[in-house]
Amino acid sequence: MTLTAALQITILGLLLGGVYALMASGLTLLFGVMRVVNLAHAAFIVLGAFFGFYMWDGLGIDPLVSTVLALPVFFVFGVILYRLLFPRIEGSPRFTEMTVLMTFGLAFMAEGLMSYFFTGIFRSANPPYARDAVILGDIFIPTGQLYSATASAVLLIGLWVFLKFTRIGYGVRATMQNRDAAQIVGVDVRRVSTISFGIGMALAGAAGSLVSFLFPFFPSRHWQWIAILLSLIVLGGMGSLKGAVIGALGLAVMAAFVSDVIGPVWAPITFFGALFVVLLVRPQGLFGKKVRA
Amino acid sequence: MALLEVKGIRAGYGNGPDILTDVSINVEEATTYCVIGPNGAGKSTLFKTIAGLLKPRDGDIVFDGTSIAGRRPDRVLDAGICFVPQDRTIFPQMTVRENLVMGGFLLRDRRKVETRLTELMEVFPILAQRAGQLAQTMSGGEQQMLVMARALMISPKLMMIDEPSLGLAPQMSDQIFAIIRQLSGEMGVTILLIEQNVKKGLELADWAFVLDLGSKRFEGRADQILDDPRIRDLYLGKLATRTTLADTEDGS
Repeated sequence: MTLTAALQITILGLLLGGVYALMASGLTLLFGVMRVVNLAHAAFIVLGAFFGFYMWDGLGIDPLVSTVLALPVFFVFGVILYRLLFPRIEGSPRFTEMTVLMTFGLAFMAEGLMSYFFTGIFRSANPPYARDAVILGDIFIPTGQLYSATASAVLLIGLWVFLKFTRIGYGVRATMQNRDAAQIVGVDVRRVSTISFGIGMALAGAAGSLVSFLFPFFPSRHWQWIAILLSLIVLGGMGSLKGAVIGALGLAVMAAFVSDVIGPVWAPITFFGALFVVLLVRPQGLFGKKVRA
Repeated sequence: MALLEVKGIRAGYGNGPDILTDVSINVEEATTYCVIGPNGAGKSTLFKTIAGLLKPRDGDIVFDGTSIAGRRPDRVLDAGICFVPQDRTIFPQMTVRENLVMGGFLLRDRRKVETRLTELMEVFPILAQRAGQLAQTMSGGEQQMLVMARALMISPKLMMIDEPSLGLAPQMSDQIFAIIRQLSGEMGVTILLIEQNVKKGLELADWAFVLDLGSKRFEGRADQILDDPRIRDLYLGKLATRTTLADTEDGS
């Protein structure tokens, strides 16, 4: 492999990894705050993709604009869904187990409803830049991927600023690090959970809008995505945003190399292979905290 | 009128049995109290119930003239009661400074938080030195100081401290006790204390409550209570039954 080819593959991997990082961020945030593994997260990314697709196809609104619009729309949707579903099982000693079943059911329901309303055929938004490319010497960068990765980076930085500098952000981080201590200093952890669920949903919606022009999608595509996203966040350490970003970038680059050297069919193996190794060597993930038994 | 009145509360965890069967205590302002009793007596549970982390199944808790029983923990804190639990509940990946800022979460006003932060850094010089360090890198004693300082951020009227010297070297526990004495003396904070080193705890306190099997057995002046023959019965006579009862309250 030439150096140029290696650089080319690395760049493509990083661009894709940026979007994966955004897709995974909501999942890891929610796990960090509530210890909820939201198996429906990728189904809501597909919903976001349909949002981006119909906004473009029906109204001519650029998917990049829809990415911004999706944030408040999906946030409100998330808060409503949370209020509807979670109060019933809160306080149950089997909360985490129950949420796995509940979000699994939610994923099926979301998939069924989307298949019913939007049909099961392949969709893809096709704004003009989705077929363009920037060429720098021998390096070829698809414009769509460049835009989506940039948008992902902006949103992730925004999320970091929110967590690091706002009062609610402090409350969210405190709850992630030590739920008991957060309660003791007066954080209303239920409110923080509601807001975090809304934020997770907003991130899924925004990521979906970006995905709408990156990959062809259809309702049941989410099973494939959730598997990859789970392996990313387990690799990075569940509940760690930094871990999710580094895991996503690293694995996407690795997958790009595997795809080039061995063949595209083998790319998904990278994620699960890495997951396997991490669980053997460092079960808490690269940036995760050891859980005391 | 008493600052805090706990009237016949009954409480327990989840769907489990009652840990507190019937506890009533009266707490007067600017006084230090020590709560003593064998393992599983319900001491920590009493604190958690007052703090709002557990809802009482029965009875009432009146603070400053209003009932706070069953209120959310943040509302109890807002009323002026703070709780320092025994497991040093820090925010491990925040700096010492950020931990203290979190203590002022309910103050809302950034300037108030800053002023209070400066005041407390004077009381706890070690925390001023460590301000930029991650809390998880500090020693047990320093973490204990951090959680106490964090609790003081909202200038509470009543502070409940659960086993502050647990697992600390004697020299460090002496420092912690000196700080508690300073809180009650100079700062006029009313203190409820659980201390496994009963002798030390009683030296600090003015008054003591003796709990066993989920209810208050008796109370009295802290400097006289150790001579009470009932204390010996409680700690020595119960040894046989204690081994079976010990884990009903795991202390966490």
